[in-house]
Amino acid sequence: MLNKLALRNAWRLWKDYLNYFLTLCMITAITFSFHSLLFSKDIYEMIHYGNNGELSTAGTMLIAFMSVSTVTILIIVAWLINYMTRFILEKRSREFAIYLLSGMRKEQIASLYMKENLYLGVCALFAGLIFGSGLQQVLFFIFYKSIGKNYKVNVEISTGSIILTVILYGVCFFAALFRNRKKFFHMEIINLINMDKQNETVNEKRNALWKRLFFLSIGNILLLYFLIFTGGITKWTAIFEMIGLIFTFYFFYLGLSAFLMNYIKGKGKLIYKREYLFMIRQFSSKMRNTCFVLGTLSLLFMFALVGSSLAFMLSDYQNKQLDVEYPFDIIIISDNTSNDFSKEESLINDNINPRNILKYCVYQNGTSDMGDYLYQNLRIFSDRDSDPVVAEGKRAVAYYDYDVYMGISDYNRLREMLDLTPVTLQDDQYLIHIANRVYQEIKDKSAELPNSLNIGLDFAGFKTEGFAQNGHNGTDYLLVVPDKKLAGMKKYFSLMAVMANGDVPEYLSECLYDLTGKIRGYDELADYIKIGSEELFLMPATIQVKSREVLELKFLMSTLSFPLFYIGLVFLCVSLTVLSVQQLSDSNKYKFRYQILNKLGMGKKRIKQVVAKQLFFYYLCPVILSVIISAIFILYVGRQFVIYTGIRTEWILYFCISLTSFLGIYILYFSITYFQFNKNIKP
Amino acid sequence: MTEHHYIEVKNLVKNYCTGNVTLNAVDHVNFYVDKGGFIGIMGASGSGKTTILNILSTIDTMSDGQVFYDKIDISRMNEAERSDFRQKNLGFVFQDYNLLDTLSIEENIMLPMALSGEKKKEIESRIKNISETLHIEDILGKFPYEVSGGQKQRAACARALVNKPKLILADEPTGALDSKSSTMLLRTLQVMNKEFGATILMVTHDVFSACYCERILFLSDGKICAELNRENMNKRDYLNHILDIQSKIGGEDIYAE
Repeated sequence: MLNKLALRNAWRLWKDYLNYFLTLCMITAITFSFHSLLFSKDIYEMIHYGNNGELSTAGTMLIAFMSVSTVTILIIVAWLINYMTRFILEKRSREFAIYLLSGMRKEQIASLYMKENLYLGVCALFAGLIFGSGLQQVLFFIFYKSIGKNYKVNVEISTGSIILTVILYGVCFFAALFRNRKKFFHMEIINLINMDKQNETVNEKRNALWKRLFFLSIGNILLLYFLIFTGGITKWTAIFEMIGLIFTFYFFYLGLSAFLMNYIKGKGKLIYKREYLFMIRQFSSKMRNTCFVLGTLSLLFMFALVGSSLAFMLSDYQNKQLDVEYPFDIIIISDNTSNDFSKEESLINDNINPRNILKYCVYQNGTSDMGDYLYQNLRIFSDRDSDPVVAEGKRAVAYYDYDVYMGISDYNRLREMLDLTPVTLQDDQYLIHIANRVYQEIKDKSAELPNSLNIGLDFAGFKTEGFAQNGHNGTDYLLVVPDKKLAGMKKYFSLMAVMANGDVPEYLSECLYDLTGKIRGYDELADYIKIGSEELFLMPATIQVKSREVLELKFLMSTLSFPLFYIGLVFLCVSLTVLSVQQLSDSNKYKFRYQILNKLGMGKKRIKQVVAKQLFFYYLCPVILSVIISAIFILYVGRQFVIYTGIRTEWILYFCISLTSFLGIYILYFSITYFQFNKNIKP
Repeated sequence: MTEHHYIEVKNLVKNYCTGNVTLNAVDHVNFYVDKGGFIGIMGASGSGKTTILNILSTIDTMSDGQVFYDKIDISRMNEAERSDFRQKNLGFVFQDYNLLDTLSIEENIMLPMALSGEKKKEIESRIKNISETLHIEDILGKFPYEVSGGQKQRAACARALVNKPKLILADEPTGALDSKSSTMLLRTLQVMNKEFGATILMVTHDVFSACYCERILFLSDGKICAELNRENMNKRDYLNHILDIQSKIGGEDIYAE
């Protein structure tokens, strides 16, 4: 009997809380499809070395980021399920009271409620898994595309992903249901009967305090903008700002509702205009009563927006920077200056069709003026912005012991290989080829640089094109001098640069490493090569095969951007569900308000307009604050991007893209809520 | 020449169809209300009195017949016109007050005026007048859940009156009140009728409430089965007449109430 009742109630739950059910499906589908990335055979091969199954850096990062995302999502989903089960419990309290009055025991009702929710949950889980296996294909397609590979549709349902999704889901459900079970045992029949009768009360107490806190929240946001614009962010101000922001989210809505209430009390002009009185009152009391939920939703929106904007920025970086970092198809460096790379050359010739091959040397003259200058002037090496020990550590490994020189003829040959116009140097001139990122940092004070260098030639300017300057053609910088000037210098390293006709197979990288008796990935760290001030993700590598490095870096970037999208999507769905369910439940509970308006002469069309406006403002409310705050975060990150990469990222564009794509999902939820709301308030 | 009445109900019919069964909730009802009148409709549960009130208040449609308000036929109006008409011409007082819980008493009263686009000054002055007459000026700033049932109902009366409607429709207005509050409310309705010249149509099955009406229509099975005019009768005689008619048409057991 109870089972039958539970089934019937679950069916009703499904109909009444369709949004909630759909969100559970969607979260299951998203979770399942993202987890299946971890369990895919192809991706397993991409992130593991050879036969011993050791994880690569990208693999470690993928697993680490996915784990962090999963834990974050676990917390948010648990919150959603807990919120929803408590919410439904309150809405159905009278029904439970009737069960109690009919002689059912509290334990029976608690298990009935638990069963209903479990039926709903299991249905959502299955539907989500089916939908997820479709979504998985889309996700794999995007993932493969983002790492520059083609994806063939391959229906691969991984047991691991299913188990992980079921565990995640199960933990959230059982935790929430057991919490509610406890609540049942503490409830009396009279409480249950009265629970759904408790209308919203208009709490106008402490308005003065909330208004002050509102100003404090606004002040905190302004302070954040000020700190970011003036560059005054330090470790401690960042910590205080973060704590302040959490309070800002909650006090903002309390304060705003206090202002609206005061506006009504002060008989502002707007309240005498048509339906505004009704709407402002509805809005202010809703905001006061749900300020905690609104604050939490704003936080979630902020995370979602920041996460997806960051993900877009990383993809942008990936697209813009890889050609700059890896201009040559293959470049190899050796500290053996008599190395003629004959073995490597024949291996290359066996595997690809080279267009140009250049073997050359870089030189040193026992000085390190340029390196010293950069150690003193680059932010990364200063004690001011980073820990002194870390800065000292960075100084020890960044640059070669001596400045790296190259003759103008080799330099121009390399430029020709890259389709760059050759440069001319007078016999008494030199130029500096410098990484754009470094140039951006020192350009304001670059006039003093030539005076710091004792080269004995006139400075002819900077060149900043991508030139393999992560240890190969110098590290961050290369001093280009007339060939004659090299006569008094010592050979420093031998190099070979190759440009190919057509594609270069990725495995060539492993083959070249094998040839030197080294293993790609293992021996790189132990090498002599220095990578300079690059902070983001480049690994030192004596042998660089562009196709292989690009694949790995794209993979690495995707391991960052995918979890960010993942979190963003789930947070967005959770927030929108809570907003939607709240409004729909209000439409049921307070339908009499709209019926009164109708009796007072408000036509159905106008009531629909009021509902649309009301929903619009309610939906807009958490978005505005999160947009204001996340915009400044993205601006900050955008600036950091310029500092770290020298790339001017279009942060506004990516922020707008994120916002627009979120708005698409937003409009979908809004429309469903609006449609359902109007249906609910029909007499 | 036919006599012209303020409100005229002609051959009003309301049917409900459930499957093959048709139920006549209102069956060819004819009556009129003159300007400034205070009319009561009495009848047992299911006799059709609330259906008539809903049709007159334009929140329900009629199956057949006509209802004229000052020669305007509401049966020909569409939804938008009915809403507009309702806003300008009708005021409501319901058993469960129907006040908006998020609005203060003052805001509840001003809402119909704000909706019909009245100016701030006019709204304020009318609220002042009405609240003083109905003795609710002290509770204007309070919310519905902070005042008693009687006060809520007087606030509802003020709201019904504020737009100077052609007709005030009261549906069992004393149903949720104790006897003291009921008396106060009925006196309020009398004040509204006498001092503000409001025309009132009240549906009730409470004999005591009905005594305040000048004319009472008795309904049974959707038809008007009797009519009583107070004229010069004193209260006791009027009450006895009502009870006589009630017992003849088999009304509810009034002593049980």
